[in-house]
Amino acid sequence: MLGFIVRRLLSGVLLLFVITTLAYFLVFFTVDGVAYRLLGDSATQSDILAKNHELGLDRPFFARYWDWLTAAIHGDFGTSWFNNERIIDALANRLPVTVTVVGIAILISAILAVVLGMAAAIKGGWIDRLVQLLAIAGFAVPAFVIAVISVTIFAITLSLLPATGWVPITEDPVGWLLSLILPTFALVIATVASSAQQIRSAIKNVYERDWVRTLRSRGIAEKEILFKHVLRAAAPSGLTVLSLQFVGMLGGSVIIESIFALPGMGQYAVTATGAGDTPVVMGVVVFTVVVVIVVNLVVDLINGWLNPKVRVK
Amino acid sequence: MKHSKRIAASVAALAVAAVGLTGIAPAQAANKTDLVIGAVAEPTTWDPIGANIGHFIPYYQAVYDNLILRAPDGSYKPNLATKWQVADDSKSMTIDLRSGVKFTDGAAFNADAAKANLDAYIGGVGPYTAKLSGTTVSVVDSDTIKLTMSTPNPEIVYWLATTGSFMASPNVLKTAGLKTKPVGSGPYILDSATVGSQYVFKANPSYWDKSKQKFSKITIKFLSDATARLNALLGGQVDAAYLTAGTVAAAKSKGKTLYSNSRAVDYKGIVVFDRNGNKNPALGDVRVRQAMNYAIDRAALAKAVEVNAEPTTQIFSPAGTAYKKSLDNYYKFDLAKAKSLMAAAGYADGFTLNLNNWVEPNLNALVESYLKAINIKVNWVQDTNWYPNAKAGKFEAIIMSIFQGTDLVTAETATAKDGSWNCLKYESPAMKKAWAALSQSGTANQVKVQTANMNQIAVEEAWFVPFYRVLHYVATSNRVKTVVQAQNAVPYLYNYAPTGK
Amino acid sequence: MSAATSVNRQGLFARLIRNPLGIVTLSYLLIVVLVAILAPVIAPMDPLLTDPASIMTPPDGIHLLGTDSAGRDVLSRLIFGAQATLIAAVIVVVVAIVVGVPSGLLAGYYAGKFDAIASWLSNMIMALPAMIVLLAVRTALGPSIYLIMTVFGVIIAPGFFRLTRSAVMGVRNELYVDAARVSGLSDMRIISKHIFTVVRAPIIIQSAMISGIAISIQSGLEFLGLGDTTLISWGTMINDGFRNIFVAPILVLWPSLIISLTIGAFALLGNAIRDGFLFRTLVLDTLRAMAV
Repeated sequence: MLGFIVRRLLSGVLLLFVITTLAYFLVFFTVDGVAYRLLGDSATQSDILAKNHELGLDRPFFARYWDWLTAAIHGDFGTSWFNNERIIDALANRLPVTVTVVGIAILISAILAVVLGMAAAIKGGWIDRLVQLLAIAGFAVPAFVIAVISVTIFAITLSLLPATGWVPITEDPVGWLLSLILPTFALVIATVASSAQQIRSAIKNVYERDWVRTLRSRGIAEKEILFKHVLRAAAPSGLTVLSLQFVGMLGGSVIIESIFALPGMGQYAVTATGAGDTPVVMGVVVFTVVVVIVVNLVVDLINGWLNPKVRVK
Repeated sequence: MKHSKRIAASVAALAVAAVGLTGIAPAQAANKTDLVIGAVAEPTTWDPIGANIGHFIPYYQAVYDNLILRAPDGSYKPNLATKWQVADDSKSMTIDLRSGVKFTDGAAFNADAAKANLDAYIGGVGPYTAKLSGTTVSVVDSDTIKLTMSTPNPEIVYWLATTGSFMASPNVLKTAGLKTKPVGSGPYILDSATVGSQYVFKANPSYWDKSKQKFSKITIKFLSDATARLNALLGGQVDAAYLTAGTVAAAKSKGKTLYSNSRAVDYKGIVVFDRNGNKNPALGDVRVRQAMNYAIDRAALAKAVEVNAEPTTQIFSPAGTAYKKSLDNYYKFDLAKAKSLMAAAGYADGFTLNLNNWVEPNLNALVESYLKAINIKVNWVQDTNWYPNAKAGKFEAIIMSIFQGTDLVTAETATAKDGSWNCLKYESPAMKKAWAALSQSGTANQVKVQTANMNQIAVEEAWFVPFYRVLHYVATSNRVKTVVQAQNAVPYLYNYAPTGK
Repeated sequence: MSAATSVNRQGLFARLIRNPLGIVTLSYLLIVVLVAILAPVIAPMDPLLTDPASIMTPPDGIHLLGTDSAGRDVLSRLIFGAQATLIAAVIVVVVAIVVGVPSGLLAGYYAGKFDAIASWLSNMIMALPAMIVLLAVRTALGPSIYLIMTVFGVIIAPGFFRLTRSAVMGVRNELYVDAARVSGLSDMRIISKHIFTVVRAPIIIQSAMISGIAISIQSGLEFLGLGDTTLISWGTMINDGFRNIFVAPILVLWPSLIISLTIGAFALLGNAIRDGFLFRTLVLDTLRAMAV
């Protein structure tokens, strides 16, 4: 087990290194123009040169990359070019927002998906068909379309919920809950049915195995077969589905956070992309990859614990 | 629509459940001694060196005082300076300072503190630091300083009253901490900042001028998206918000009070850089540039894209003296005339014009159609860095919204050979003469005469293809009122007041 | 062997036609493709023709679906918008196939070191949130939606890689492949003739799903205003609609509807083919997660 964890960790670190290096080369390819945008309309040429020097942009590319890398290893991603905020602080402020929205969405989505998926796999019939239909519908209507429509109806027309913004839970727990409803709703609707469908096929897959038939022939109650054996066997595929869904939602939150003006990582990334705040874009890429690697590692560990065969592979 | 109906039904259920469970209506902005503003920008640094006008200035006004106050009508009033005197040749200025003012860290504001601040500003690199360059500051006595300028600076008062004299505590000047944590003597103290989201200020308990401190707490929420700002205003999360043409009507229909800046601050239009015709020979011909001016139906364009924008063919602000009303209508929409000018210049069959992909797709599309009518084909250059690239001389022309500063700023940036908005360094004989006259004597009167002259020349020689001046809109809920500010997109922070509701 | 192949090929189409869902979705997509190709002929107006006098007008006799914020005919723009949307989908699918299928074939057939590296790379790419990567790409390379879609094709290529690889591994040691090898066929011929036949159907299914995902990602980026705003596409139309959601909420409806219908049609087509083949693939399902 230990060897497995170490292998996965090493692979994660290597992955992180490759991705960040690629990203750095990609986004720092062009940095001219930053000073102009920072200093505005009336900047003179000497102002520009001074600013470039202040930002260290007049130094050779590889020297900059090396400094960035060594600092990043120590958890320092530098400061934003546009608002002087330390990027690691900004990320620390923004990560909780994204994790809360995505976390609650994935929790609701997981519970609903498991219930629906089980019902579809065991009961079959109309509920099975409904899940399939909803899965297609959820696939077809992008989350941002759901978000736009729900804002128009519930925030603007009916004034039932706040349309935008984020209220810290420490400030106003009720306001916090209300500000979460529409964004999580959009994410849940877009994902729940397809997760349910995949969980359905995972359970059905297990049911078709020979050993389930053997259990049945021994006269073991259906309930016991389902809860003690089938679900345990189907859990790894279910978890994998949810972990992929989580990665997907991290991407989806980019658009959702922009629509609802939530101060999370996604909105941070979009704003930085628009402004050309390259160190911030880098920071978001690194941070997101770390989150994804950690989640995948946890899922792998749980799967390894559930099914020892995985570890050997 | 089937999907959305089903979605709608389920959201309704969820929403009702949520509200029902808690039994509380959506959060309202807090009680009336608070002010919550929805802003379109956030400060890039708290160091006064980085202070900027427009959407940025209210942030600095919360935590810092400057020497001279600019009243909403554009006149100048005492602030930390009680009196000032500019010499006739605009080469020196004496300033009397208020005594008894303390920074929030306990340091005293006096002539030394003022000199330290101005020296840091003059020696620093920021959006407008160049406006005070060449200025030396000397301490006359404990509450008097004297500014000496190496070249005449007729606009010194304007710059001191806007971005040039925000006073930070001498203890933190030139420290890295000042970039993220302001220490000033202003009416408010920065309580918490969530960069990219919101800034909370609480009243400075020992502030010297209670008339500038009308709220116990001010929150500025940074909402860059226009729709998000409108939603926040309609949903009661903010008391005041900066609006765009697309959101003005909605705010009005929902009973919000609208404030529009009648003295518009920006103009939108095509800035032609390549008047030498080096990149695009056609643009070197004045007739072609005039044809472009005649080809655009400004009134229709303004009506289609903006709300109450003012069509114009000049770039100087109506707030100044160089402005001439007749120049708003110098090129009347006349397709036949435009075509004959194109033919006379030898471009009856047109040419291709490279323009930046400006942020308003609908404006771009309409402009493209107008130019197509005289056979000019627009090629939209897909360049996210068009702004700096234009500044670096890589564009022949751009569409942009440009701030209309004081007459001298407009002249220096747009018509001077080295102006930052004369990116390809064009100079015409008439303009050269006007600049020679101005440089000979920089007196206030000469500035008046020559900037008016330059305005006339730029219009006649079609240096630009201005479309219209844009009005800026701010809407408030019934809890708050405000006053528009001369030459600023949004009201100054001092201009907001509670209505008592 | 060739007899089996042709039966297979016939089966795909015949079974699709027999499935009512297959017919409906296939004809819908066929219409969309035809509309895109024939856009200049069937569009009632020039999609670039602006009219400052009729901004955001409701549907009437001249503009059947009304006009947008530059006075352009919405219906004509929907018709022309099909082009950019389909081209984006095709770019993604082609890039993903070109990258994913050959590497999957090689990895599955030869296994060993190449397989280890390629699989590691594929897992690495699959672990990335596509949207964040595309934002970084956009920062670096600019707003061309076709360029961004090319990168997205690479990001989603592991779907094809894994599918091809596992299919090849499944049949590599089957008797008929062994037989082919014994009879002296070169590796290349075995791969192209026998193994490719096996993966063809799942590739088609996958392509349909990925087309849907590509449209979703493309319109999402354009909705955020990060695409090429001068392009006529359904995504830029949603962007225009959302900018004016308070003035003319209906503007956002048309492109949303057509995008949802088209993505749904691709998904249903994929399902219909899969039902026809009783083909089950895990990789297919996991792809969905990338499209949120």
